Amino acid sequence: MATPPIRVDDPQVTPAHSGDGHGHGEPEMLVGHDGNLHPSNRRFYFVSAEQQFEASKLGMWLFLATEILLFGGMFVAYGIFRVLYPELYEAASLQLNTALGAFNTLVLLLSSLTMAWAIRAIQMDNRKLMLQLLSATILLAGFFLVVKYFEYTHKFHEGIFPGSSFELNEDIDRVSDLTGATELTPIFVPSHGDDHGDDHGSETDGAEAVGTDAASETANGSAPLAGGPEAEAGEEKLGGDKTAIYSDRRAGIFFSIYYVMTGIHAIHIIIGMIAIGFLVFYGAKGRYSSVWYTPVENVGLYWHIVDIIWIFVFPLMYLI
Amino acid sequence: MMQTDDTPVLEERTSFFIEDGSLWLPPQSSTTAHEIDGLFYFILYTSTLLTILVTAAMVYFVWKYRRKSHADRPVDVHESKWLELSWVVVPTLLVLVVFFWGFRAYVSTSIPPTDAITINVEGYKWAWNFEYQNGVQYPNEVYVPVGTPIRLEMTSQDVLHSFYVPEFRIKHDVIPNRYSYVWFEAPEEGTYQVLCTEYCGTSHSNMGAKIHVVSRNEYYERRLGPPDQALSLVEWGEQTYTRYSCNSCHSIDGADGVGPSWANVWGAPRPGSPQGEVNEEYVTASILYPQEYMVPGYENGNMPSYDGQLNEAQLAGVSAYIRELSGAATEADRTVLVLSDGQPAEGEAAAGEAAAGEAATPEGEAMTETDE
Amino acid sequence: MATLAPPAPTTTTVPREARAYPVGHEPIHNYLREPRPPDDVRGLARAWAWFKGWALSVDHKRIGIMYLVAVSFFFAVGGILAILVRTELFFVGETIMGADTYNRVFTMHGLIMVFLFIIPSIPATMGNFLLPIMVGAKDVAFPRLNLLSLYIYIAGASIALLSITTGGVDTGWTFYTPYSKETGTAVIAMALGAFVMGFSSILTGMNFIVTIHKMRAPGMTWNRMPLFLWSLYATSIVQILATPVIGITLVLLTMERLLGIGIFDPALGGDPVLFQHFFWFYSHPAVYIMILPAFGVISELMGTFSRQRVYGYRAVALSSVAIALLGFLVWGHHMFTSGQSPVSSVVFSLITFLIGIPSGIKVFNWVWTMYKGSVWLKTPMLYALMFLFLFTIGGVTGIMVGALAVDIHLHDTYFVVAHFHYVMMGGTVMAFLGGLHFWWPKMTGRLYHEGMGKLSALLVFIGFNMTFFIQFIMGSQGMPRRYYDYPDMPWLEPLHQASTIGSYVLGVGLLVVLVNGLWSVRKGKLAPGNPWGGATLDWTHTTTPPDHHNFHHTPLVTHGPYDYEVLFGTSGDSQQGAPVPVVEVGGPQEMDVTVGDGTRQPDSATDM
Repeated sequence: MATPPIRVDDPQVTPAHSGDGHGHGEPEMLVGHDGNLHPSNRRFYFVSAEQQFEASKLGMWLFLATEILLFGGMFVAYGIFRVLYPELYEAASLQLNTALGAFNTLVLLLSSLTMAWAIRAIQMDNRKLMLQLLSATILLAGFFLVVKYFEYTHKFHEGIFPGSSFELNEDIDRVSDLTGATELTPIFVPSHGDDHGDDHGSETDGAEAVGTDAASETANGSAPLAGGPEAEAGEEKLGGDKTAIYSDRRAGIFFSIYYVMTGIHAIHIIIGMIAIGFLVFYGAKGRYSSVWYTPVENVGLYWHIVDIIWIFVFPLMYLI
Repeated sequence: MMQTDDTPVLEERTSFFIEDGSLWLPPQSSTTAHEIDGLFYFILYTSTLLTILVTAAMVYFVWKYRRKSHADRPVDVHESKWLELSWVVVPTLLVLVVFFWGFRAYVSTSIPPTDAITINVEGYKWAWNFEYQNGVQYPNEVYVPVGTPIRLEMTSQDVLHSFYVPEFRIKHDVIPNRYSYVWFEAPEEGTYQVLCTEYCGTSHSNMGAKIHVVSRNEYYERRLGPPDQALSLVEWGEQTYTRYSCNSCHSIDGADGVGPSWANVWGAPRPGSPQGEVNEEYVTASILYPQEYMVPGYENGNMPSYDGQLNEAQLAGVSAYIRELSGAATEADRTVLVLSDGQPAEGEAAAGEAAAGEAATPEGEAMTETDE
Repeated sequence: MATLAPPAPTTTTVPREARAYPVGHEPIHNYLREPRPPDDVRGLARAWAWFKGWALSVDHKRIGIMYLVAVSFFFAVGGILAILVRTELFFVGETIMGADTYNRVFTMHGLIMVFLFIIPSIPATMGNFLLPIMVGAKDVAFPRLNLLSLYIYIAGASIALLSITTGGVDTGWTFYTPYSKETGTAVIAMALGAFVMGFSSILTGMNFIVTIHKMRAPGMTWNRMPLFLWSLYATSIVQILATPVIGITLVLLTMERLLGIGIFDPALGGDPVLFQHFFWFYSHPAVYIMILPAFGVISELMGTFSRQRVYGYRAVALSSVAIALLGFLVWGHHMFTSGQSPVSSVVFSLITFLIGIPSGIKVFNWVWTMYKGSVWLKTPMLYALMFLFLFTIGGVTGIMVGALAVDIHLHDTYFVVAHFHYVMMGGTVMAFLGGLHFWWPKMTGRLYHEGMGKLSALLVFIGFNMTFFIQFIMGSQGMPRRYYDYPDMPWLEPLHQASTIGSYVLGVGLLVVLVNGLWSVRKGKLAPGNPWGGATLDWTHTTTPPDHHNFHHTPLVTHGPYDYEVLFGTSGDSQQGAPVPVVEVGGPQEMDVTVGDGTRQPDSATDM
């Protein structure tokens, strides 16, 4: 566990780049608190530029770990409801446009390539190429968002909203035909207008739905009550129509997860675009070079993780 | 009808000391309580001993090695592998014992015997409703036979609740859209308190119920439904007001609560509601389908539906009671109804329709079980 | 941030007799005064410049102090709410407020204490202040992110407090669905506030991990790191890995309320138990975010005030990391009665017991640290001993509620309330207070009043046990938590009253701490460089209070954090009988500690 001795200072670092806020143009040399000269883009509390670079990179990796955990939560939610309502997921995912999703996947993969290439370019001190590649990355990201926009609006037109607002009312035949599951037919029955008049709010309705989804309860480890006295009573009370409505609502959960997941992913894309925009801005001013390109490297890492998350979202949502 | 009258009355508890003079666990009133208590006391005594040892060592060291002068120099203390190992191994063994004990007791206390009697329980804000297999319902109290395993099938109408009987050592969350169960067998007659232990809003702390453990005979009687009562409509309403926990939200003295007060509301305008004002129809609709119309200022949606829980006499009684509270009660409201078989007799004007609540109607299947 | 080097250190040239300040307290260097507005700026402009110098400072020490002020403020607010809660329970029936108000008050108490006080309490204040100094760095790895984390914290706290103006929140700090979906109170604002504060927590954790990994001074090997750093390191792991999960949970809850997405709403086919899993996946590890730094503080206190190497250094250090990792696998023990599958309950129970063992090891090691030591019973040590006692009780009652069958009876009763207050308040808060007294001279340059310190410790100890030990009894008798009233158990009234009176005593004790702090900042004795004889870098290699950049020269670490014999010699050597020297710092220290002339007594030694 012994750490090799760390150099107290590293005067070897050549200041071959401009300052980072202290000034531009000529490399600025400042006298640090330790009395040594050091390049101005190294902050005084770092012993060496190398230490600073490694620290930023480790920081970025830690940040990416939090990103994975953030999306991890949503993947878990996805998984649990998939286990609870498997047929429903299959049926619902047919509503997503696989072609558009696959196209978007390609767009993102391409943007990852341009991003990685941009880092390579700045490592080779090819600033112009880096700027071009970064701009290309932003364009591709924008393209991704435009496609996403069309996907969203199309779904809104079809009445596919998240959760309680979900009321898909077409393609009934198509869905049941494809899945071959007859009990799924009522899934996409509209939820309006066929309630028996006493519509006393969703909370109480939900409670009455008890017993119609015994299968889901087993998965949760709670006691299923198949054939329980109240379950029978519940079914009598409900009738076929109500069962249909609650299945319908559960289909809404799939789209809820779809919207939340892709929505948060889209927010990450936008944040990434802004970050790359800053890189372009400062890159044009000549801030980065092969000696110091930490921000380019870190944004690149971020962009790859956003890409990788999509690689998981796409098959889970669109394909299976 | 007032069940407490003929239930064996337990001595009112007055002291925070338990009957046996201890301070910790309440009396064991179920057949499984001793398993939990045994483990509880085992951990209690072991950990008390441990705490005393740690504290004693601490105090002794503080005194023995107190700093006598600023010239005190540290003494080289070598770490002893055996000492360190001992305080890893001993606690590990102890907690493993506790784990297996807890695990065993958990299994035996959570699996109900196959011959258990099932009673359905529904929690809602803020009361419990018990329903026997024959459909007879009791709000906020239930009668169970002594010395018989009882299995409670529980679900919630609105939010999470938790069904807790300290004397039985049972507790389980009550979840909407899902069933959970607990079971118990009470070896002695008595009345036991049910508490809600999952926070559920304003009157969470008033969401109590009573479990009456009674003789088999009394149990058979009780499960036929509440006995016929000679009550006026106003009295029916007053009884419903307290039995169904209407009082936890609606005051009768004009005080503000979770829901509007019942004082002086009869005939009050309710613009926007189908009925337009507080009348018999309005009251009935509010009880059965509360989400349809909510009084401005009380749109919290807290009111559960009592559809299927109240009989006609009780429904009409609530209206009559509100009339009474507004000084608008008629003579008919105060007239004692002649009930036959749990229903208002035919032609009884104030009761409205002839059909009485199905809930109060005992079913034939249950009758055959009684000895009488 | 680079500034011109100050004139060469003067301490070596000024004769000792000529100094007006104790060694190490020369005014020019310390972070409280430097950087400061130029002398020609006067009046309001000076005040503004001074304010900006603090509010925009990226100096980890100033950020730590600002955090300390904010955190103490919220501790006071949460404490007042707690007093209100206890007062309401004084009598059966309504005492001072209605049920709805009560529900909001206890919810706000929980939320403020958890998210605004305990989670940032030790890491963001003492951690920020000391971590870079202890590793021998001039600042944390990302000072600007550090300042950002402070402002994110303040923003989150403001959003949370604003929710009070829009009706408060009445869900309990756990936000359980579907109640949190249905209630008419300001859940969204509060969830948003907690969500925002999560970023602050993550940034602090990131900063700490990177600083510890990359910025240790030469010679500061992992095995020479003070245990406080080990515990902060473990804490940071938890902060980084757990906080995003509460983030997404709160986002989903907000969406649930805004759009009705149905994931947690049973009425839409969602699963309320899933919410509990998500919530506790963060909130149980969060318990370790709260307690692990306290472990670190206690290690420092036990070592320094026993003048003895912390017994089983490796075991204590590694058990922190073990607790941090195992802590991710036990969240289900909050849900034994919630309807999760019995099999998972069994597994969670087993892992819960396993995680109890490292905590036990720590306690035994701390107690044994005093063995053959030289125990100095100053206020910080008193708090440390209180911690040992209270945390032991908190720990063994944890075993009780971790045992499957017993938890069925105890879950969601006052027993659990008492258990976590023993761990959180008896543990973390005692360590927080102990650490505060311990590092008070380091932070302010002044000594607190020892008499007041001991009085506060006594009052807090009595008040705390009176408040919460009684709650163990009430809980095992069946008193459920979050009860506004106890109409079904009127016989508990005397116990409730005793508990309430205890909370008043506790409140007075904490008030004495506050008075002591405020008093000492102006009137306290100037602190010597190393009043307690500590051996970590913060005591041996920097001034008191520390220099603006912590060190004139990067320290070279040649001994472990508790090698007191290196500083003072052992009992067997020739110095025995001579008073322990004040360790002088301030001069250039490339190599090792400069030991003084051996004649100077610590100022505080007179009132031992």
